[in-house]
Amino acid sequence: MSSSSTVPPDVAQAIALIQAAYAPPSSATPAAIQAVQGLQVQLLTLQRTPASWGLILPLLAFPGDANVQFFGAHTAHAKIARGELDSLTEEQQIGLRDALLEAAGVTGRPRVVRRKLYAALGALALRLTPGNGASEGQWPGWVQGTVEVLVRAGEPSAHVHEFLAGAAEDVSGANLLPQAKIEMIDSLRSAAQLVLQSIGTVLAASSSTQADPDPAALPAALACLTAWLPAGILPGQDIARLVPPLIALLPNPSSPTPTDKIKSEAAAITLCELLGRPPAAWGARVLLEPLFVWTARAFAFISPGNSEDESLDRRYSPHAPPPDAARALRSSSKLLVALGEAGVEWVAGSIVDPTRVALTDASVAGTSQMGMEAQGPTRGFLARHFLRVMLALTAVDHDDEDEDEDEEGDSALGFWYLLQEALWEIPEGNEYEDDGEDGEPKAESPAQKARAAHSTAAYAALVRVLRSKVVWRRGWGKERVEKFPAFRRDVGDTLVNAYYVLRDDLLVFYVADVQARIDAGRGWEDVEATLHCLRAVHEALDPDSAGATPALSILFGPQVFGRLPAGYARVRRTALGLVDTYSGYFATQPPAALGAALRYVLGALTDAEPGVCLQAALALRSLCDANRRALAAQIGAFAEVHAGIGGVPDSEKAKVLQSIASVIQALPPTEGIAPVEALVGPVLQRLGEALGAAGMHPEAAQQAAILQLDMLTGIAKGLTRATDVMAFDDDDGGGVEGAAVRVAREDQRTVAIREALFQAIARVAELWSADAEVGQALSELFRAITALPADLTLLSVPAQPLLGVVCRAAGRRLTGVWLALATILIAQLNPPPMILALQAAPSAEVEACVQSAMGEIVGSVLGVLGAPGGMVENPDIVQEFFACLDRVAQDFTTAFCALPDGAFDALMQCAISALALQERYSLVAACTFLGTFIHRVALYAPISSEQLKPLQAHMIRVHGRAIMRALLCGFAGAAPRSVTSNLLELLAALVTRWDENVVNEAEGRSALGGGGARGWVPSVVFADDFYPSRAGREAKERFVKTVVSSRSVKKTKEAANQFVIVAWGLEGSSFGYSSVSSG
Amino acid sequence: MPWTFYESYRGSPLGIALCDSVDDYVRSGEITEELGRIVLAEFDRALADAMANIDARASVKGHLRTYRNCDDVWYFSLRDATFKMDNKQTVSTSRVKIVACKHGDAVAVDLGADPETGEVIPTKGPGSRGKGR
Repeated sequence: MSSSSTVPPDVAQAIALIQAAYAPPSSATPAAIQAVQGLQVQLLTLQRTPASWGLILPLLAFPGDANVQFFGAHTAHAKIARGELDSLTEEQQIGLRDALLEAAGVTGRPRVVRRKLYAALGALALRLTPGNGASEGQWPGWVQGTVEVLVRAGEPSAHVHEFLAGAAEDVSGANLLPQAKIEMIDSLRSAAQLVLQSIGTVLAASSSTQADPDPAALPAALACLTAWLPAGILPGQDIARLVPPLIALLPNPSSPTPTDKIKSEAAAITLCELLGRPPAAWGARVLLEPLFVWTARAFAFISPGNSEDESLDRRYSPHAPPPDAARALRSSSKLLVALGEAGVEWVAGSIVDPTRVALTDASVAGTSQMGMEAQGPTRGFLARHFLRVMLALTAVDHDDEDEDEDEEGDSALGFWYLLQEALWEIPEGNEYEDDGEDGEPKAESPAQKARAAHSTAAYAALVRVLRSKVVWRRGWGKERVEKFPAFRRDVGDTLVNAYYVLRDDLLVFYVADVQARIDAGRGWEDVEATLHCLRAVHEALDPDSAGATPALSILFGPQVFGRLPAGYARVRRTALGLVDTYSGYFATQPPAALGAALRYVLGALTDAEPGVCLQAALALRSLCDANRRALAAQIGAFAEVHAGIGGVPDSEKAKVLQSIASVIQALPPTEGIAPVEALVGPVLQRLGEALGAAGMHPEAAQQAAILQLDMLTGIAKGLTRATDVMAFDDDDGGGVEGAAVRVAREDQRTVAIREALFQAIARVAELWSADAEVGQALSELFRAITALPADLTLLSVPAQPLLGVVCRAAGRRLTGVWLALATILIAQLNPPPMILALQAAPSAEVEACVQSAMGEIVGSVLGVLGAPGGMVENPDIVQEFFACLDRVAQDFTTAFCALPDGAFDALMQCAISALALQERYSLVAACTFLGTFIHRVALYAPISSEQLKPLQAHMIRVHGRAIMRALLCGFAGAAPRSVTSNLLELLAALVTRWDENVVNEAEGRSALGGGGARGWVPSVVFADDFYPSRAGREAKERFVKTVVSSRSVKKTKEAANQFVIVAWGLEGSSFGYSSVSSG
Repeated sequence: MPWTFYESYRGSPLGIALCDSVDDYVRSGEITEELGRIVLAEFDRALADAMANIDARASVKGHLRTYRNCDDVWYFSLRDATFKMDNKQTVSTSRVKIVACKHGDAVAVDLGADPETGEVIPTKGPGSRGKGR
């Protein structure tokens, strides 16, 4: 190596720069940080110069400073990876290769330098190895050649394997052309035997009893094996030979030494990889069965002695293992989980299989402890033992572990999900396929019965284990507390799988458990955990059969719900959540069954704890909603609830009122009038007070108004029928029930309520038209009080007057919320019929209402969007405006004819300008509106010769070419490429609806020719001021020719799509196609 | 071989915005197509990883019109579906197509979005729980 005194001045200068940049910072001041950043920029600039090729070798040869050597290797890697190799001649490239190989052969380099050098060699190989099709590459056998250099230089095997692992990863991660990729994979394949031989040698040496001279050798060799596995290059039968020595390295309880731990961890990681991606031809005998044998040997303490002779229930222990056993399980948890995932089908199919497994050399040792001797254990024994091991792993208490291990412990849950699925997948268990001769399901075979008994026993133990795992414990740290809800949910998912195996037995067990704990006066934490488990399995319950489960009537009866521990917020929240979840169950029971649960819920409504109160309100809402008819008989009791609503926190009042309203809805409508009056009256009164106080206390008044609006929304939602509107099939009016509602709506009291409600809404909208929060609250209320005719309630208000309120509010202060509300209301004015044939045209009154609203909305919006930058600064208004127009175009197309000429033209210009917006949603909304409008006008023009036909002609004459121009400019790049599909739809609308006849008629030409809208394309595309793009004249001609000559919309779209690719300069590149996103 | 990830999330608002931005950079020559492809591939990987770590969950009820499974990718087409979120919020839609992919590396398939609804809801996990059996 050369010394620093003999280096050329430019190299010395570079070394000084590197040393300054990599030196520990003297201080953390902004000036010092800026200085370091400046040095790094200088280094990067230096690295980009052609002259920096000359720095690589001197820097690598610089003695004593790892930073300088690293920068040398880094420069080589960066320049090669960036494609700067082409600046060198072929001879120079070969010279660089030889020089880097020589540098790699220098022993004693720091690890970071060595690895960067290997990366540089890998990058160089990616460029030199592939030939150009006809000739061979410049570096054939690069893997073997580099290994030879390293071995000749005396590098230890760990370094050689580091290089080999990097080589496989570099080739895997490289983005190469297909032919080059094939050549690189071939280059790896030619080295496969060398790699296997090398790994095998290290493995054999590590398995021997002699002391290992290099502890890093085995981990590096196995990391190399792991890196080469995904490529699928190593022959499966050769990898299979490595399995027995790998298993021999796994923990042996009789000799745990530190060295063994390092080796066993490396072996476990490799085996996990093999389990995750086993070679295709491997059967269970190669890897799974030897590992199950190892499991039985290593965890023999899980089922000691004669456990196979015990009763089934005792064989599957629901208890957490002792500390030593837990430690052993935790240390192998990753491998056990991987084995469980890979071998779950084997386990499920082998539970009662008496076939003996063949013992490999590695698995023979230690089998005598299990009484297996030389014959080998049966598959059934191994499967059952593995179930016990997984049970023990699931039961391990992870309180005293670090984070990673904790997660691994929890991941054992996934095994039980997979096992349940695998048990169902066993063919002989499929009773529907194995019918007997007379069509009756075939009787279960002894093997099936035995398997069912074992799986039931295992899952019965599991539900006990899981219950104990979800017990809340005081004194947990913050992190544990935060993770607990997610963990509980995962446990809940596993319980669902357990339910599929145990069915009602699971409910019986948990209900008996909670009852026993209450009887014994055990801590509330245990009671709460069991309630949580019961709540979690609800989603698996069949609603039809759940009603017949006696366990649930005990649960929700006085035996359990009447005696739950009081005073603990957590147990109350869980119990209330349980009622919420099971609210539908009570509908299958006599009304008396609701008693205990309802009392519990009502008692919690006024609880000081916010979480309890919230959960109680939610539970009450679900209970009332699902049991309307049963509770309607007790409407008097709900009057008391309403009387006490003052004690309920404001945030929950709306839910409580919704609950009461849903019970009122089940009364005959005329009987519901007085209760509705009682509910709505006070709310409207407080709303009136808030409106009156707005002048003096604006903020408090606004908050009070929002609260009252929320309550009105809740009441309106509660009054909406729970039955699916689509279920009514007699007419559009909701059948007998609907008729009764209509009669009740005529009652003077309900008319007065609605009038008062409307007046209040109008005043709120007038006063707070600019307030987003109020707008949101009104939006929710509008959705609740407007309804289809079939779903009218006593509170439903017609959409017409509300539309007027919205338009006036939008006129005062335009926001997206008002426009969205206008869209909803306009849609309500032309509701879809139950039967398409019954669709009637909107009445003249409704048409006039929409025309008037359109005039106001268009006037307001164009005033805002017409200002400079108006469209760019208000994307929400643009989007909602065009969405609203789209709705009008669909349902009230003629409303556009009522716009003054100037307004219509301004509107069209606004839509055309929007086609060049960069904000995607605005552009898509404008595009959709124009497409809908063109289609609808063309569809109805023949039958509307006085209105739509002249409008279509006007559009074609005045705006037709401008729309086409905006559209084609969008294709050329004025619009983002992601909206291409939307623009294509608009193009399709133009060319199909505005054909030659329509355009000629509109433009007053009697002769044929011109091509309709297609005929506008050439003049637009070849105009001098067309949007500048990468599409040359030839591409434009190709596009124009297809569009003009083709009569197929599909071909037109294809041509336009291809034009987009060309215009964006992406022709011939896979990027153009791979990156395009769907609209 | 290099791990590839499903490109489903390119159809999400975030993915669309990224694709549009990368398009602009490639067109203006600020980055190469190669780099653009790498950025999008990295986005696919990062989204797959990020989504795998999300604890939020939703249940869905609706009328199952069709379903199919190909290359470990499940498609469910639902009508009148209601999604119930963890926080009890519910969202209803007249139709939705659910594309459920196995988490992690997979055969690269461009799932895109539903051409009719434009909706893509990729989920993690290996398909259904077999609840209906």
